[in-house]
Amino acid sequence: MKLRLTYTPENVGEPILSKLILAKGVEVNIMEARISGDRGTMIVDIPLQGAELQGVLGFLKDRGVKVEEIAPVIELDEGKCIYCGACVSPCPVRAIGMEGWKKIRIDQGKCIRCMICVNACPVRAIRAI
Amino acid sequence: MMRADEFVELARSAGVEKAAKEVDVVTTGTFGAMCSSGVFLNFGHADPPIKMRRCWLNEVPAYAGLAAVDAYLGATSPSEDMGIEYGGGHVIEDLAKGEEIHLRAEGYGTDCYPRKAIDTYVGLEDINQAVLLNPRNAYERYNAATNSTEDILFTYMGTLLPNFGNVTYSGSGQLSPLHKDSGFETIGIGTRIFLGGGVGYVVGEGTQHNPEDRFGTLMVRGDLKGMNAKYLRGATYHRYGSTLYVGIGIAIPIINEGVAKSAALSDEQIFTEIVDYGVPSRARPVLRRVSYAELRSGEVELDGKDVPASALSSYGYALEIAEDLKLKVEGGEFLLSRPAELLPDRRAFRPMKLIEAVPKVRDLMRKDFKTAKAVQGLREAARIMVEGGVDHLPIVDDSGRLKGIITSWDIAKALAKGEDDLERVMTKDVRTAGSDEPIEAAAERFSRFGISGMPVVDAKGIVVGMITTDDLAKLVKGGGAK
Repeated sequence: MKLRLTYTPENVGEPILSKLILAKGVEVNIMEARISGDRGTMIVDIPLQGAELQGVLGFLKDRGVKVEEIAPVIELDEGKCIYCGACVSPCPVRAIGMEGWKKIRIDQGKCIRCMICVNACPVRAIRAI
Repeated sequence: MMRADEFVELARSAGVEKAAKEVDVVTTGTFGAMCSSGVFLNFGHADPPIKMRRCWLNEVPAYAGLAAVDAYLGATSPSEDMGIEYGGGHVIEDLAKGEEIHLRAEGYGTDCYPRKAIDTYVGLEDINQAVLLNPRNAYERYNAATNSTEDILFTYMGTLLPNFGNVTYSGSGQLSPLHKDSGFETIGIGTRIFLGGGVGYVVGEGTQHNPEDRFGTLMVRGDLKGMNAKYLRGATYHRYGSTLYVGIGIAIPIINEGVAKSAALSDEQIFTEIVDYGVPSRARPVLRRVSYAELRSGEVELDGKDVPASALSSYGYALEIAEDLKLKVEGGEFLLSRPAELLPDRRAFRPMKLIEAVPKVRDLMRKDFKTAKAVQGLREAARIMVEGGVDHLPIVDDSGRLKGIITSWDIAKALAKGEDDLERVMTKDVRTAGSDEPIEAAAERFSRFGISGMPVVDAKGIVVGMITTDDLAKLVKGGGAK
């Protein structure tokens, strides 16, 4: 599950993610981090579901971090798509593939939000949410 | 009647001869970015009338240097307000969709055309002619592209990841119209074709038609009013420009064994070259030959590594076009026509004549450069630099191969830190130039990486010269380059 974490001036100085990793033994993949002296946002991927995920969310919320779940990151408009493939090989994590010759498949789990495919699509059928 | 891909399969299982006996017509298709496309428009006369000197369609400039109310809108023309995100190709798609287009024009006013400005909205229904006239379409095949540099490139071949990270290609291979009649025995002036979902005709050879290297092209025309926006799609290549995806299909009558053999060519038998678009020169290096079958498999081998490959043109659409054409020919809706004249199978292909050669790195580089070996140490390196009056010193191995570089600034820093190991002080990840590179490409790297000197190396990494920002100054003074 990908989460957007928003830090406040009160907690931005605390090593909350390190504490989370130590306390829960969870693997945290930091995909984007914008931290300045008094605030910050981060996008992290946490490979958990159900009760375990709820435990992580609770841990973060208890420490004053605002947590939002990020649903599908990249949306393909199949009405616009011409299934050319211009987005496929530029994907640096191979999250995009062809299914036959008339369908493009995006693996949201692998996506790292680099936006390369959004720009690579000649008919602007891909957008990031 | 068969699609070209079906004919390939039949010829594979039954042999070309038998396949040719069973099949009269093979239909082809392609759907890709065809930048050399555009539309001739005649808007009809206003009252009072205007002689348009300049005109814009949805803020995209069209060429109006034709009589009074004729204009030619090219697919790659960017709009004044949205740039390449909306260009001529997008206007053509919007016209085909039946949308109204904002038409603006300026004239200088004459006795017979007194009006000086137009601001109105027109749709396809309102204008007299809208003739798609594409100077170069349906390339027989095209280069596949990759990128050797350390930076992502945005090209007309799409997004190319650094360090040979991917390969892009274009063309429909075994469905490609011109590859299925590679002797140009059936396609010629006047051949009726599927164009943009409607009916079109081959006007003749396309511009840059280069049949001997299997880069044949077509010039085509058709009435935009009868076309389908599904097969005319405005598109943008990031940081490159706008273009138009055009759908073209040609029905090829199997008139003899030669045409049958050509129509039976499979993706395994149709080849193109993988070219390095990291080299900013017309003569880009070819890395290897590759079949469309390998390209279409999604992975291509480059230097022992499997590199992801994907197309820019749509094979899915190409299949749909070939199928649509097959059904129309079968149903008697689409009649084949005999060409008035066949296309040339030989043509000289020339580069642009330049009266002033673009200076290359070799023209400005210093050939009497100094080098040092790591074992000579920092003190000796400093002495060489002072004696030679240079700020950059390439460090090489015994065979002259580049190992690193030190600058006078590195020496100053080393002195301040009390460091005296040359190998620890030198920069090992050195930016280099090639002697055949245009000087502009080297100048661009100087500013991008904030450096002032680069060793010039050959293919083996041996230092053959040195180029610095001081050498570039020679250009401004008018010296150096010939």
